[in-house]
Amino acid sequence: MADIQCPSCGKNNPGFLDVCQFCQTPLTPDSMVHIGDKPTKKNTSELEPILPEWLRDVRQQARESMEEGELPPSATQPRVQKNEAPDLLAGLASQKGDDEEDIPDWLKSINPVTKPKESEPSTPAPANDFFAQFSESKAPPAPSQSKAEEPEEEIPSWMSGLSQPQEPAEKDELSEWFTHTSEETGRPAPAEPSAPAEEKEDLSWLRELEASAKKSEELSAPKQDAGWDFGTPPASFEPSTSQDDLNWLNTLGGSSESAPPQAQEDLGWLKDFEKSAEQPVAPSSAPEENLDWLNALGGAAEPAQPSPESPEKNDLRWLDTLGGAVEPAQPTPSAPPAKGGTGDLSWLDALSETAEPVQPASATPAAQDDAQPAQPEPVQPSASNELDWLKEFAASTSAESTPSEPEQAVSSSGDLDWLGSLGASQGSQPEAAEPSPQQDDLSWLNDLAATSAPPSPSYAKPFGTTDELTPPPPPQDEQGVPHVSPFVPRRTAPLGETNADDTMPDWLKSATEEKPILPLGASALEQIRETSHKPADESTPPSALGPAPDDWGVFSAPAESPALTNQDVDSLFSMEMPDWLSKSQPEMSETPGQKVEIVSSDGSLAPVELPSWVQAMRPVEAVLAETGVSGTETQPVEKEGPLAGLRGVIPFAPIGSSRRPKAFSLKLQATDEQQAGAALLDQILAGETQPRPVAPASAFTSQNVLRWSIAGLLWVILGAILFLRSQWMPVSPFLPPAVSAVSEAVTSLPERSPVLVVIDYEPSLAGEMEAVSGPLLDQLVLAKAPRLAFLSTSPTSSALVERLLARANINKSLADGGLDYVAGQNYSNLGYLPGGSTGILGFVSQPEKFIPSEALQVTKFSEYAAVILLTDNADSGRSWVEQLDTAKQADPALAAQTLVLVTSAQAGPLLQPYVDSGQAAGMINGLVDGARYEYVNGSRPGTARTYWDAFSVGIFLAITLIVLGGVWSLMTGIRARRVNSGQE
Amino acid sequence: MNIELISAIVGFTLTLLVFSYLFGDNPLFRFAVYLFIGVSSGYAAAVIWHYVLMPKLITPLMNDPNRNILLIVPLVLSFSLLAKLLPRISWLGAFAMAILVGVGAAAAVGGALLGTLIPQAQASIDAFGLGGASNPFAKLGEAVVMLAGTVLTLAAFHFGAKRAPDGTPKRNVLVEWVAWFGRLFIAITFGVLFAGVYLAALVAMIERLGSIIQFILQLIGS
Amino acid sequence: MRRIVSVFSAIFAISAGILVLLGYFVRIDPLPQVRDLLIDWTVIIAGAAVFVGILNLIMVHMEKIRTRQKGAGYGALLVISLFFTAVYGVVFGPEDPLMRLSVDAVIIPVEGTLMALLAVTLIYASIRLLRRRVDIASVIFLAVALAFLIAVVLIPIIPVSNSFLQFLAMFSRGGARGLLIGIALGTLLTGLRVLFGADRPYGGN
Repeated sequence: MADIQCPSCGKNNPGFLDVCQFCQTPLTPDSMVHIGDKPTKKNTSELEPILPEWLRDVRQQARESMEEGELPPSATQPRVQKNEAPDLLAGLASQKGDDEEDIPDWLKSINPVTKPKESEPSTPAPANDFFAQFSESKAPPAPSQSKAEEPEEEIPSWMSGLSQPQEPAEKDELSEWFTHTSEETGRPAPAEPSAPAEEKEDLSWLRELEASAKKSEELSAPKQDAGWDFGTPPASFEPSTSQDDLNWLNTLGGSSESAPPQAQEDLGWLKDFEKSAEQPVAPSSAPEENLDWLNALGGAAEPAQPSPESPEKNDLRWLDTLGGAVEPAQPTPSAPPAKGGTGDLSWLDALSETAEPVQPASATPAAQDDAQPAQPEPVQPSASNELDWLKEFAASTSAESTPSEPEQAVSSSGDLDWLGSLGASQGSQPEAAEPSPQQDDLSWLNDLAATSAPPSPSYAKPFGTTDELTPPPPPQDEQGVPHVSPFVPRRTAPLGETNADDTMPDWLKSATEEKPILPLGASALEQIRETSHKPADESTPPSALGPAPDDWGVFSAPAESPALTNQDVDSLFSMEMPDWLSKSQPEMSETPGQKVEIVSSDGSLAPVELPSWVQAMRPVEAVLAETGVSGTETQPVEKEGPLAGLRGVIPFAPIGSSRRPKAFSLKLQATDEQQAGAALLDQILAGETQPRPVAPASAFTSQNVLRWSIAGLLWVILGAILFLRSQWMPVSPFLPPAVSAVSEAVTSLPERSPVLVVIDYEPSLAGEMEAVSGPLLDQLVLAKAPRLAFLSTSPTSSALVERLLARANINKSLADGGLDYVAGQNYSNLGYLPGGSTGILGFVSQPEKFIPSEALQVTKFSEYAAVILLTDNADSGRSWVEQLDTAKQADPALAAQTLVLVTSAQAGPLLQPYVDSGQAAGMINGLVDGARYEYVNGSRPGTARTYWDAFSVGIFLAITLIVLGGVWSLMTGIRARRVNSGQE
Repeated sequence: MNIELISAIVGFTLTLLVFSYLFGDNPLFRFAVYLFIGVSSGYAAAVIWHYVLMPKLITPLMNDPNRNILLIVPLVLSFSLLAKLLPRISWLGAFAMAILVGVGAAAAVGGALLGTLIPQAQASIDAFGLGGASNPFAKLGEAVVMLAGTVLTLAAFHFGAKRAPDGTPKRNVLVEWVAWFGRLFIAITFGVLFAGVYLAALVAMIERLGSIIQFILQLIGS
Repeated sequence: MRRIVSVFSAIFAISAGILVLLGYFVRIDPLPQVRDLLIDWTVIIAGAAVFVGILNLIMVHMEKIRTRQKGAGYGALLVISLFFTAVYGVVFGPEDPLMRLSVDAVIIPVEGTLMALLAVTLIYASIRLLRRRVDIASVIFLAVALAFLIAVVLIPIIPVSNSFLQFLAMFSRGGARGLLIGIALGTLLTGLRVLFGADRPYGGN
């Protein structure tokens, strides 16, 4: 047999081969499946032995259910009733009975807040708080179309960042990590020895299918796709309980924001692919509606054409809000299919990269619980979106017809590459029916809608048991065989109940359901990486989760998160499987070689029932329809890679969207004015920190010299005068009226009457007060010989009594020239009177009670003939005057009591008004009055006179210094001010 | 050496130490000041103990507690003041302080009202009583000046103002002029007070210099 | 508890103040006795307050010594001098010769010298005044001070200066009366605020 050249890789293959032994590209047209071709059932029973046991069980159950004649739900059934890939949520379904217990506290607390979910108005089931949290708090509940029309500029920065390609290093780490996780699952990859770690059992069967169909190992490329492994839960995420699952979600969501952006450009070709392939489907309304969420997510609005509301519309509305504003949402929605063939489809890259983490480990239940099992075998190349394998595959398959491009495109997209491989495997069983190219593009979609739309949301129920998490009514076929997901084989019993008759293969359902999940799963990629080595902690604080975990719970592990309501899950996975996909499994096993029937049952397109993952590509075709891109004839034909032979797959325009979200610079954007202000502020601050010139030392010197000069002059001159004991300065014999009144008051006192002498001055002015009061006391003692009672209102003043009397020569003996006043007999020291005004008031009221001493000599205050107040403080003197005057007003007996003020020069001016008002009989103010009084008193005791010369000189000196110094200061001040003004 | 000589030596020394402050703050000055504070505080404590607490509180309670049972109240309140030394229980001294402040405020109010406000206002009025004055015009002029000084000085402390259109507070023009003259009276009064303070300080210096000279002469003479 | 103390302390202050204030105007028994009793207690408490103040001074400086702060040596000097003076004074009384010695040798010289330093400072400040500030008030202030001093000195020499001094004192008395009335008004207002409970400086907040 002649060799056949592979249309894809160009290498020669033996003629008996159906697929290229090098690139797995079908070598014969029959071995290729084309879009639009009616899928033929292929008997894959021979592959059964190599399938995993659980998959064989599933397939067997599916066959049995089909044999029982259970019909799938009607295609017109509301979306919430769809039975979509229950195995995806098999883990959750198995928890249906104990969802309430498994719901973590943090999720319960979130529920009330997120109840009012606007994004799912038509959903009968209670809104999932988990999702409402996004839609309410972060995503405006705007219509999907309005979001679709949002310009690119409105794309959040986080979305723009998402478009950045993922760093290879991270991929490698993740690959390793997922590989490790896969290994921990204990399920070796059965079919792909080259990538045993990556291909777990859940997907290995798919690989086996492909392998059996293509009989080649061309798909080894996907082994390098670390992205598929993203979904694989780490070993630490293997708790078997639902709480564990949620913890995992928490951890994931907690860092979903920090998930590395996914490359968009790599899948840009896919947009053109969709332009050309799905353009005919554009008029369909359902896909447009379904794509609203993608529009909103991506920010790059897709001008989806208005279309009648489809059941799926509301299901995905929450995603609209999600992607619109939810920053922590998965970044992949930021790259939905964009208009005009921009690189918006690169989000699919992110899908391929991020959805993979959702993929669980093979058959380990724990791993399946933790990870989203929806992802099929990692057929996708590396996370860098190397889809060459797919191109090659497409090239091999599109050699015959371009109508197969849509399907190929879908499969070639990072997320859907598994579908590509599926198509390849199914392409080997094409049926005879060959729809027109346009129809071919969509016929398979019709089949999808016809078969996948009817299923009720079998997994929508199992998500929760609380009110908000209460799942919708169980599917009709609960009694049916559990629909075991290939990824969650141990937990598919409840799901199987709900959709026993679902003919859609689990892997396909999971695959189709995973589409919207994958993008958001990418955002948690980093978190997964970071937490991969951390054990799943059930007690993970909710606060550390934030809203992001919810995202993860939605997108990455819906089957595991009990927080997801049926509604949400339904909206998540509201994809309708084509008939050829959903029915093919039993058929494949029965009628090998039969082509897949792409045309829908009624022979017409049912765009409303397009799966969401197809709808995700609708915007492109919608744009193409609007922009008038009619066909793919003008598009170049791919020559290499899996897309070889396909036309118009790779866009003319450079990959990468011109509508790529604008990258917001983190650099400070400051205007000139702001910068000027900042400079001014900086200048001010700098000025504050600049050391000011210290005053020159000369200034200090001059001040000190001046001070020393003043002190020196005073010391020398006054000392000399004191030393000389000069008394050449005259003393005025004229007494002021106030001083004369004192003398008169003294003379008017009765003899030997008790006189209260208040010592209200501090020791600092003892010299002055003794000199001033000396003549008065001397006159008083000499003239009236009163019984003196000394009372002090300062603690230290009580010690000045003896000193005062000594200076006045009162307590000295007659021999010493004194008056021989004896303490206790002629005078007494009453001591200290505390309390200020209160003490004065009390003493004036009841002196005997406040001074319990026999030295008081009186029983009533009125018995004191006179009160001599010796004060150097205007305040204390005022208190005495006030209280004494008050007492006089209250007690008429005090009216005759004489109050005499002997004040320091510093207190006299303020106490003078009391003398003017008559409250005090008289006042001796300072040494000036004291010297006069002493002079009048016959120069007794002479202390004032001793001071008078020095005092007078000191005044002259002060006058001189102040005048001269004042003039000098005035001149220098004027000069300094002139200098300052001149400088200014 | 008698006690007076010691007193003179110590006083002389401390006087010089304090005068050293003219050369700036120095340890000698600090030594004198700290010693002065300690001694004066100790003396005050002794005075209070002997002149206040003992005769008014402790002795009555010890001699005749039944008769002076009410003195327990000030005793307790006095001890409660010790709580002021400890911040955590300082609130215990609030009652004693309340008594002090309340009674002191009442005494100050009564004294200010009955001892200053009414008498001084009355004196301002009586100054215009020209009966018996040898020089009525001089007395009238003096009364006018004192009344003007009183009113203008009080007006100088009137800070009531309205808000100008530009937002700045502005006093009435008449009040402004009155206050200006009031400030003149205040300046005169403060000038006199300043002179009085200087005179008092000058006497203090003379007294200190005289003590020094006397001590020196005493030393020389001895 | 503190709240209760605060309320009751305010009640105590206000009630005691009102009773004492009423004693100025009402002489009906037992109001004067109650007022005298309250005043007696207040005097005792005031004396105790001074004592407590001294104790606080000791504690502050003891803490300074304990923590070896700057100037702890001076604090030690203060505490020692205070302790010995207080103990000796309490034991032997303030009239003891040694206590008088402490006053005559320490208190009066130091305080008198500090006051004497004020004379130098005042002259120095007067000289510097016109360099710092030249306005009508400053000029009048300094001129009046100088005139007063001149008149005081010249009185014995020039008797007319006595008339000038009396004339100058007339203005100063007018101002002083205004100041006294102002002080009285301030005292009245402050006291009434305390009595009304608007101000609670005793810790009643």
